[in-house]
Amino acid sequence: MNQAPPSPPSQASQVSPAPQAAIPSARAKPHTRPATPRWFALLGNLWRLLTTNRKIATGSGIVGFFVLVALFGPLFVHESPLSYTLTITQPPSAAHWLGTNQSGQDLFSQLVIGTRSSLFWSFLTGLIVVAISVTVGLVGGFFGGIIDDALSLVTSVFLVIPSFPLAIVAVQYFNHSTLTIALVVALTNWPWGARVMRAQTLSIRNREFVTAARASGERAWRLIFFEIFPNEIAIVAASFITTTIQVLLAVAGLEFLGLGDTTTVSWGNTLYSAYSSSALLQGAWWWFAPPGLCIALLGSGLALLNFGIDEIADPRLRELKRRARSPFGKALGRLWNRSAAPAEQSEHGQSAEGGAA
Amino acid sequence: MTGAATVLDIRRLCVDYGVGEDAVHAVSDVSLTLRRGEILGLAGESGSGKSTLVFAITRLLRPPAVITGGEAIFFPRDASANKRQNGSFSVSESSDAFIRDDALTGGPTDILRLSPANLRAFRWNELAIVFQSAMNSLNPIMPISAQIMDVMRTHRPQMSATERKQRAAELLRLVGIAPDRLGSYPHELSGGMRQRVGIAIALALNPDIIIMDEPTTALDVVMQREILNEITRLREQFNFAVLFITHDLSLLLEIADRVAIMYAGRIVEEGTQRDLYLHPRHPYSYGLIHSFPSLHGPRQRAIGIPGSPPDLRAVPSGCAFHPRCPLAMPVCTTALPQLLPQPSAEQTRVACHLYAPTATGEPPTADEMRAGYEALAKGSGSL
Amino acid sequence: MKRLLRRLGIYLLAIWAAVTVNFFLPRLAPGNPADAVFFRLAQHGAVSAATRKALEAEFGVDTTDPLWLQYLHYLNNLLHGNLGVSITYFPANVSDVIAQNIGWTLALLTMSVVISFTLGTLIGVFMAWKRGSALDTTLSSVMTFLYSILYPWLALVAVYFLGFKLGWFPFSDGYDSSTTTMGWNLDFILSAAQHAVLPALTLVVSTVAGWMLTMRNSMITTLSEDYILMARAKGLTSRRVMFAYAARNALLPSVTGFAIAIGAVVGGQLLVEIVFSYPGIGFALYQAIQNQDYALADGILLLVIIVTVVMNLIVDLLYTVLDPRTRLERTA
Repeated sequence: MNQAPPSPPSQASQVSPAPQAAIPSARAKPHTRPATPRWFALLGNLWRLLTTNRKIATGSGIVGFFVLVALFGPLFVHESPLSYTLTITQPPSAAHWLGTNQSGQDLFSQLVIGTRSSLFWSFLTGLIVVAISVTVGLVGGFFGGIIDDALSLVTSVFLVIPSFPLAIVAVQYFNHSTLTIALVVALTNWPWGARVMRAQTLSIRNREFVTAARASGERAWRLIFFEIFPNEIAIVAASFITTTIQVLLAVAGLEFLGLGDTTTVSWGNTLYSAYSSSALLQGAWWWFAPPGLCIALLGSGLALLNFGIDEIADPRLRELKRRARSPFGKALGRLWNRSAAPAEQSEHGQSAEGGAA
Repeated sequence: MTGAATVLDIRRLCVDYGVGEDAVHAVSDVSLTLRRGEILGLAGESGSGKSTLVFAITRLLRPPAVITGGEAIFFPRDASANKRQNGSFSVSESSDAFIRDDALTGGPTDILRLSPANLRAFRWNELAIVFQSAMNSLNPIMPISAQIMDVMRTHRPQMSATERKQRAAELLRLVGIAPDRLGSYPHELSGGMRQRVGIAIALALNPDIIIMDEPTTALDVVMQREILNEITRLREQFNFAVLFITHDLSLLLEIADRVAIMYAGRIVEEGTQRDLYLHPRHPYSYGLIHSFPSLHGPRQRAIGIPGSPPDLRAVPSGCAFHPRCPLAMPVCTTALPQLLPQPSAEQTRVACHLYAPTATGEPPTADEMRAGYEALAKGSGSL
Repeated sequence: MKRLLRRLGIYLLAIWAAVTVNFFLPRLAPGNPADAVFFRLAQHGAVSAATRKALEAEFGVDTTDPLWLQYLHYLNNLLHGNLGVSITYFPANVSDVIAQNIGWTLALLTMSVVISFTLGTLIGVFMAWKRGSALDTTLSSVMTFLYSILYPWLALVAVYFLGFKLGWFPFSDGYDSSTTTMGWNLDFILSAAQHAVLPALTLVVSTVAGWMLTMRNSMITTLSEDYILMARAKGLTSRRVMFAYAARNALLPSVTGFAIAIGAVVGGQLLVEIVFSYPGIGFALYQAIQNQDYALADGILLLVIIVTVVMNLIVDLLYTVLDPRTRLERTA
């Protein structure tokens, strides 16, 4: 009772688990009818996860939009993004929605086609980074001792080295393919996630279920990947999202410097050509503005997802109910946040894990 | 203590969590009187609303908690009768008068309606709090001297730095800590010492009321004993009133003058420590008192109260205790019992249909209550 | 003290690791980086035997020395500040080129980081204090957007609108070389300050969101601590509760975050310098990339790492001052 006014629902849940448990199952009913297939229940859980927290809802909306554009956008673009025409450096018009560049290339086509490669490489690189950091963190945290000491030291050392300048220097020695960039970015961005994963693994390592599994003679790799790892899904997801933002910016940054594969179409390459062809001095804002906006928007969507996950994990960050507010603040607040009762929240915590496992 | 003047009068206080139909009533219609210089114990299981009550009268509730009704009247000390004659603080005596004229103008004041500026002046001057865990209630990156002195700096701006320092050293000495510890940080002190520092800070302005919210729960038994002795001694020296919150009724029976017992946001019984110990009237009080082995008196088997405290979102109708009560009657499920004075004991009030003036038949005896609990225990098997 | 020594060890290791990676990269790379360098050098005229030898040593070609000996030579050269010859600024030494540019970078970096961290932290404190208010929700949305902005893109936008279109500030170069001469004279300082406005503004705007959101969350977590409740119960002024109790505690995780983020900030600054043609090492790096000037790029990387390490050290020292729990343990 040392906490400031403890909220009764959570208190009550400690002493009387029965009614508490009844609520989630009652809510979950429409999705868990015995006749429905299991994936349907999973989808239901996922849907509730996406819609309960306003930040997650907005974030997944934005990210979802870009994913759709990446998947289907190119089907609707009939003009080749790299074909030269005579209509050079035109401002946006009906024929060219985002105008053309100095070589007469259609910038709207570049933006749409570029979405695919920018998204694909960011997510792929994000996955590689997370794979490295999860492995390093899990192995170090699980085995402890000299393995952990060594891995921690390497992590601390690489955490100090600024990854972007290192990536610049490394990339220039190799051929400028997007794969090179992805690999270099992956190899320079893993330490942060590894540190987070290690801390989490340390705290899980000694829980009862791991001890029990260990006592029953399970192999170390099974323990790591089947007992410990599933409990870290939420952190891995958060880490993946953060990493993807970093990677998105790092890849675009390298491409902006002209270190990318300039024969392909991507947001970063469009920025590079805009900068190196002095789009600025020609006043061709339509050349450099859209790709940067898209990067920032996609990044914001990912960041919102991440903040939403933070709120689910740490109830203190959640929006409070408030009395009076200005209409403007109210509208914004409605857009951004939605307060959720503690009982609801724990339910989503569960469904997040359940949905992923 | 009977004749002592009232220092704090809580009248029909109600606190809800949330608004509208989802609102949970954490504290319902609670009236309590705290007299000068007494130790009033407030006992109850977790979730009974005792901490919410404390945060309400100190205006420390955070949303979504809302005070929906009631008053908490503070009666300032009579200006002429300075209780501090027996104190030894020349430093604070002069400054006290200053604040008193400035902030609260003598008459009884409703704490719940104080303006923000007056509330700030009222806090700690008249009412201080000792929190449960001193580890968490002390700022980890500030030396304890600064945490003692910032109270003086805010409330006694005319004190010089040297005076403040002297007073801080004096306060530490009062609670049995060497003054050379002034520069220490909380992490450099043991749990017991930190709790003593908490008490020293509470004493800093010589308040009329000190609220202690489970001040010994986080400590081991030996340390608990020392702190309790310290509180009793200091109370005798400075004559402040204590509202002592705990879930440990046995502790209250030792140090409190009067005890009130809360259940599901309401007070179910209130009386002197002695009367409550010897003649608990409410079946819940009886169950609580006899749920731990008695240290004195005849040996008896401890009994248990079946079930668990109610979920505040779904409080049972009538008397909230009726599903767990061994002596429940049909009326208990429908009508809310009123907290009524008892003819048999002057200061005792009970909220139970068994003792209502309209009750048919005699109130139950202790043996009947014990037998009821034992029958319940048998009836429900090992539970 | 022990903690600081440990950190110092990690920093030295970090520098060594980066240098070592740097040594092996050209040797691992496909093709022959040295060829490109010789080709470029030849365009500048005859290559002296000494230069040739130095380059061969650097890239490990045309040499019969075993790898470990090459490595030792390389380390020895670095220790003596011998970073090779720059092609871009031929025949200047890399160390000279860097020495010329580093001042600009450091001045811009210090200025923007100090402004941005202070501003972000302060606003974060107020956002958490006024949590849920219109100010908080509006800023949260704006900051989420700024949080994921590409530094050089924001620089382009700033150049275009504030510099090119509105003409409020100069948008390239570090000072006006036609009217002022470099040195400690008022004209030069004023001109340099004027030229620094847009790059600094870009850096502040693109980094402030990170500090702000970190501080806001850290502050919200801190505000639910018991000692905040106690401070309020003590009747302290809101200002004292907010700063002496909440903000000072909330600052600790924020400072740790600062140490981790500083590398990214330095990296971002390099890009911003490029857009503004600011005469710092970022612009030099861009030149190096354009001209395949490996030696210069390597030297700049080394320098950036040293700058990052030094900033980390400063943060470590600051943390020790801020958190008494990390200082020497006194007996309890």
